[in-house]
Amino acid sequence: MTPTTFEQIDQTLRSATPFSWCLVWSLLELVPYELSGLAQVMPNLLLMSAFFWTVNRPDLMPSLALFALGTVHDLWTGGPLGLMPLTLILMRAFVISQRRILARRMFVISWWGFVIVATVFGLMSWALASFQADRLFDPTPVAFQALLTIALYPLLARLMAKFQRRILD
Amino acid sequence: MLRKPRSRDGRLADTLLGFGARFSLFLFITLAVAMLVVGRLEPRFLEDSRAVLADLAAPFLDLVNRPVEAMDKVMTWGENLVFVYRENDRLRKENARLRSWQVAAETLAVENQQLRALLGLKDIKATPVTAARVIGQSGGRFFQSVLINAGRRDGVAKGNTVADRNGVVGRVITVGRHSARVLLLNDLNSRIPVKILPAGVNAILAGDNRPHPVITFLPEGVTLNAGDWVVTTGHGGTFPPDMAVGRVLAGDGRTPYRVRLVADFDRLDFVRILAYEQPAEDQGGAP
Repeated sequence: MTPTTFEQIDQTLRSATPFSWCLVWSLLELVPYELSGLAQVMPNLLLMSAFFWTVNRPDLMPSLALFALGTVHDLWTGGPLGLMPLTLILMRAFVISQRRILARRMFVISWWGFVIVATVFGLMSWALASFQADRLFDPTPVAFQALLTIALYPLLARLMAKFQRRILD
Repeated sequence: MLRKPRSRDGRLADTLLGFGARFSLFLFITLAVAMLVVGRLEPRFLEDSRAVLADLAAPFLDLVNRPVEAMDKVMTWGENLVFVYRENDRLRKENARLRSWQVAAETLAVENQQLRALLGLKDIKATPVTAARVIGQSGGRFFQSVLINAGRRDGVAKGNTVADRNGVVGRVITVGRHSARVLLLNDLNSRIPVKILPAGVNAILAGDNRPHPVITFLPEGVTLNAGDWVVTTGHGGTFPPDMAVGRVLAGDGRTPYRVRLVADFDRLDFVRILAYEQPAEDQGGAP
């Protein structure tokens, strides 16, 4: 049976959920929350959502989508362009290679996977920024950011899992 | 390496571990690294695409900001309620002190005006372009910039000075149609010529991503006191002269002096955008 046009549109929109979520999260990262110092340690919401969807629906998070999301994120934040696409692509390679462990078991295991991803991202961003500025930055804010990102992951994952159940599965 | 036969139901293993996947991994990593290199040069088209994307994000951020701002107002209100007595006491004292200053300031203003008239000095003033709301932060650890909801449409141009009610905040670095990005004074790339009063010495205020920027190129042997005023000089043509920037923090004699900025960086909401044209006779070799 061939799907009707409406069904096709519906399907396309549903398939775009992960991408749209990631886009919205990276926009939310930009909002000035007017809390002293929060800008310094703003959790990396895009990394969280991209990781979640790559683990759970890698078919809807192809490399091209991740690359585009990373690029837009870097252009928005005004950060070193290329860092986020590189991180997301490497994250995808890591997730895909470990997917059998990450996707099926308990949540704790995928959280552990995220700990690795967030830590590597923190180290990379610190090293890259230090390299570009030609001096060593204070790593404390990066460490805080990584911790906050890791700590908030279960919350965000839970929220998006709800969406996944309702819209995609 | 796993090798599985290609199946048609879209199972992952083969699509992801096959040659195509490895090739795309390689391709995208190369692309990202290339972007890192090209991005370092900050070419013109990058600036343009940043501006276009910021324009696209602006309406959304504007919308999201409202509840956040409302929340912030409620919190401030609560805070004010708790500290109302202590605050009142402090303000009373401050008011008394300021009154005496006001008299001094008025006398000086009159005298200043008379002397200027005597010398035939031309007033160098910045022209206000517009006011704007801060709608986005950089969200980064290594760069300090904000997004404002005014752009080319409102007359904002690259290089314009941005200030809040207390003092200089930074300068405009990219301009979109209805949004612009402002490089804050404490960003690593921010270097502005300043004058320190009352000593009257010129120096450069350099950001290093920490809350308090550093005074560099201070003439040898000059000692500053905590609380000395740091103002813009107008050299280089970006910032209008004599705008308040901050006050010198107590130094330890070994490390360079740092400056507490007067603009409220923790709570940037509304800002003024100023255009400043350097007087013609001043335009020497400065770019």
